[in-house]
Amino acid sequence: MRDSLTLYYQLIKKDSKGNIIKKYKKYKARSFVRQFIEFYLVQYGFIDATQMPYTIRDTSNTTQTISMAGNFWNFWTSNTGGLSAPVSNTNYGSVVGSADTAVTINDYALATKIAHGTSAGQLQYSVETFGAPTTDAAGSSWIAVRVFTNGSGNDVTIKEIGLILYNQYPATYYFLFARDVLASPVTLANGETVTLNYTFLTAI
Amino acid sequence: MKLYYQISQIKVNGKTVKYHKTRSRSFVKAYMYGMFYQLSDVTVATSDIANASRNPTYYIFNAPGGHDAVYAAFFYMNTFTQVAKNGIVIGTGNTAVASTDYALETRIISGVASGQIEHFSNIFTNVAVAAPNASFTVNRIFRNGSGGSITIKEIGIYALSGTYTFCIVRDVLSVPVTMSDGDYLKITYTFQITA
Repeated sequence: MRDSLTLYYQLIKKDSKGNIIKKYKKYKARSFVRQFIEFYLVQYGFIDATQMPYTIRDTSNTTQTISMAGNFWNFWTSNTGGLSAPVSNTNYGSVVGSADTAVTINDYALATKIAHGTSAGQLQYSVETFGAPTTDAAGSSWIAVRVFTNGSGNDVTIKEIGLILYNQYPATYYFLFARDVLASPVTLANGETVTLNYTFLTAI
Repeated sequence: MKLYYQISQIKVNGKTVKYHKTRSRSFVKAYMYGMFYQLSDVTVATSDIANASRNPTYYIFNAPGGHDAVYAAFFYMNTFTQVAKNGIVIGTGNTAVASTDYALETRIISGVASGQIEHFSNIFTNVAVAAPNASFTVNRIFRNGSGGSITIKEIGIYALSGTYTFCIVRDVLSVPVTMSDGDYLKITYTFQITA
């Protein structure tokens, strides 16, 4: 049965001059994970931590109590947050990793997130950018985009990808929303980049 | 993520009719535009249920029960999360769903006058995890106290964002449900993800 909300990802590998080396197939992301649906329950149901505490496991494997009631303006209308990670920040937004442990609904972090940097095994994370939503007769969609550059001097292989939310109220927490293990790992030689496009799509 | 709805009807004679669990056809435009703002922090405008261009920020649909007629006062006396028409809503229109729908075609007002149906609270369940799935539900009970029969042809979810209301889900029923006077209806939407 078709999903009501579908998440797709596509990877595009380029050389140091920006020429496309390979455009990978667009895949349906396997897995929103439980934090995604828990977070929306808190929002839709206007969950109040004082009356009905609700805990969600963050990326450090700590359960955090979050609440919306009484603080609805803060909850979603802050200046930064969501997936909109700045350059070099690996705490949230689109992230990549080097492990291929199978995805489960209870995953709360990538198995082995690749750090930002130019040391061995590291990649440079760009700012997260977005394509505004569009709507046609078939439905609506929008995209989140991040570029990862290998300046480590050696090959770096990406085996897993994910989306992490930055929550700002009542404190800074990071929640994994989606995780996928790539069917075919992507190896970046020194100087190469890979663009990760996540597409959110609803279809009627 | 899959979205399903299921309708149960409790007839005035006590008989229960349970309809098939059906995949909801349609998150409509405002759902995605609100989600986009929440995850990108970039404002985008879309139509609210009055077809006025607004910027949705977050969505809440936990409204309690009551009649539309008292909601205007409720709005000012209580928090604005308690506006009547947010939550699961019902209507009599059957025009096919379009991705740009911004409201039910003909929403049924909550009340006991002719053509009206009483709306009770929206009830959420906790997230249930049974690998590989995780899901939660929201349901709402309706009662026909209008004195006549009313046929439900469309359902959906209205959600509050700030002081505005947006339609985020709309479905046209493949089999309309006729409520006789005294009948109850329970509509359950299930949000489900699978790893």
